[in-house]
Amino acid sequence: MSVTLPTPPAPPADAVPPLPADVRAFADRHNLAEHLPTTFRLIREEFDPVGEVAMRVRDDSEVEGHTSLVLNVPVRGDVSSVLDRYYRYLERWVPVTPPDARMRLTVIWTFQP
Amino acid sequence: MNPRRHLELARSLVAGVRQGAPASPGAGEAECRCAIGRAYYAAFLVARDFLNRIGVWVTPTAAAHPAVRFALNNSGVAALGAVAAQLDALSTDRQYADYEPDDPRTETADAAEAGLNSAATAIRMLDLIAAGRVHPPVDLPAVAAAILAWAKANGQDAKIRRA
Repeated sequence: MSVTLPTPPAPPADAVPPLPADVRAFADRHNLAEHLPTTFRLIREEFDPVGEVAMRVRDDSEVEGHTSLVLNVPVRGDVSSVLDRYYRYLERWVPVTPPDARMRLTVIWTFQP
Repeated sequence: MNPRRHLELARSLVAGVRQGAPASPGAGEAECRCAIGRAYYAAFLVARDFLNRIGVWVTPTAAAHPAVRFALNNSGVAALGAVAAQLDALSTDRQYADYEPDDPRTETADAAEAGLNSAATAIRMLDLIAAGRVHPPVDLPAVAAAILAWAKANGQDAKIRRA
């Protein structure tokens, strides 16, 4: 007799990965938490990342007091296709994210071999 | 000097790396990092000039980097918000390139080319908006008024004020 194991439910489209403590604290301090689900959903939908999105709270190297949460998306593909994905992401992300949050959330990407 | 020339230099640096003839000994790591920096400055300076032309002065100090992004972000125009986001990503890449020599993510021709193409797109958007060649046209006096009102309301008027 064979038994079919239940398939685990897919995570919700706007699931936010576990946040490191410093990222969570930064998100709380700048009211970013409510914008992260949409940000991660759009990153998944538009960038099609090939791995986990790395998160880092980063101080500006030159301007004291300016800190942002950098989301680094691992991508594969040629330069123009990745840029097209980035522009589609921005087209959707900018209208639904308030300016204050946009100043604290930076999306970059890293080309994977 | 027209700040767009920074972009031309960035293109030359990346082309040299693509052709296997970087400008300095090595595999082109320094050229790619440098190209990202030049691309950022081209876009940043054109954006600052755009703000000046519509009547918004931005501090000439290092604080101008976030101030230009704050201004564009609070202009009430989504396309300018997208340019601000592109500047933000380019600025972050530039800081990786200039301050984090142990992190190789900005050392590839792909990374540098993406940076300079993103900068070129941001500059093109600013040029089109300034020239009234977007539809619907952007009301530039209203953009300036929105930015100045935001700066005043948020205590940023020492860095962003009427030109």
